[in-house]
Amino acid sequence: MAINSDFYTWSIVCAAGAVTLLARASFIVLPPETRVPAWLQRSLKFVAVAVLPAIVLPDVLFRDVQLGHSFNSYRVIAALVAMLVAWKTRSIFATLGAGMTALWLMQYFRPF
Amino acid sequence: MPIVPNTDIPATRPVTSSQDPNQVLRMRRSAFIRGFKDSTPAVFGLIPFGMITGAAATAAGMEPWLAMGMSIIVYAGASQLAAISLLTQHAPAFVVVATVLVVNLRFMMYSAAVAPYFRHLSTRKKWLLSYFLVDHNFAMLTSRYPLDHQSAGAVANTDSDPDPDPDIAIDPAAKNRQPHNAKQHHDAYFLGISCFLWPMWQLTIAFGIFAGTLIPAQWSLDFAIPLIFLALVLPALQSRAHWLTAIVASTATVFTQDLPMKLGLIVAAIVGVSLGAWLDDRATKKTAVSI
Repeated sequence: MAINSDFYTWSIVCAAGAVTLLARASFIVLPPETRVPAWLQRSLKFVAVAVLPAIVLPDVLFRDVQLGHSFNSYRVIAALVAMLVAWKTRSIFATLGAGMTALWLMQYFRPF
Repeated sequence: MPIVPNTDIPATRPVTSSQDPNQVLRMRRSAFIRGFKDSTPAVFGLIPFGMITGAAATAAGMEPWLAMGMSIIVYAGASQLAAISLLTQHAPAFVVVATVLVVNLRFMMYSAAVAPYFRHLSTRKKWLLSYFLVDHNFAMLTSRYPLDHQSAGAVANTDSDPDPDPDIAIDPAAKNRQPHNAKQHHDAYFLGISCFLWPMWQLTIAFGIFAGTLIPAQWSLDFAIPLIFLALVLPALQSRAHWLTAIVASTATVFTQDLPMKLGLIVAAIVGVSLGAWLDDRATKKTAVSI
């Protein structure tokens, strides 16, 4: 599980930093007549809602399967609770609080 | 030949060059301080988020120095969490970097929106200010000093004609509202925001990393990463196209789990974003026809 601070990982971090800087600098350093392409504008609206769930889902569903445990229902249930709270409150901290509390309660009482 | 005193002042400060340098300095300083002050509420709002990001990084198994270095090099919270999540899932380098890029593509929109404010600066300064560009200083700069000029609005240069003469005020309509020269110190205002935001963010991250090393693994603090993403995604599901995108992309990841090297994520992202963009395109065309 551990992410070691070896040369390989540092290279990934530097490359990630480089592409991030390029995205930030893009229209600031490009000539002023450069336009935002329509496809980019259109796609950007959907990047977060496509990519973030695609990262979350395997992390929640399969994390412990990969570690050799059975299907991880505690995290799945806690994530469902958090989704409900996120939908209702639209608050990061309420979502975090609800999700973590749900997970901790289940880990403590082990209802199933 | 008459001596032109201003020739060695680069074109980066065209309007101010004819002014008393002390006054310019004073104005720049006050713009800087204004930015610093304006950013205070945003900075205090960031403190818990930074601490959780730092703690989650350590809880996910990241070495403290690596987490700190990443925070300084990348300087974008959500993409850092995405990278950490993927690194723990043993994704290959290019998937991690591609994901960070995609999560941070929104900076291109910010970049387009703030570009008119920085047009008079040297390339080096442009790169420097670019590094500091985040959600907060973009929002504050563009909302405090809105560009009336339609072309320079939030989604930028779509129908602008280029402004070839930097001597012309960025926003001609605003000339009546405030002193012309004040408009020339947006970079100082922006830097004022950033010079509070950046160190405070790094400090809270450092604190979170430190706290994370003390918190036992049973607390499962790494679960904060998916939770933060859920908190970001659900409020963003504002239309049918958004819902469909999220559902299709999630389903695609589950069914592409067996693809090697986490390629499923890339597939899911491409499928999801293309579907969303297509639906959006179709909806716009429909509206256009019905009108």
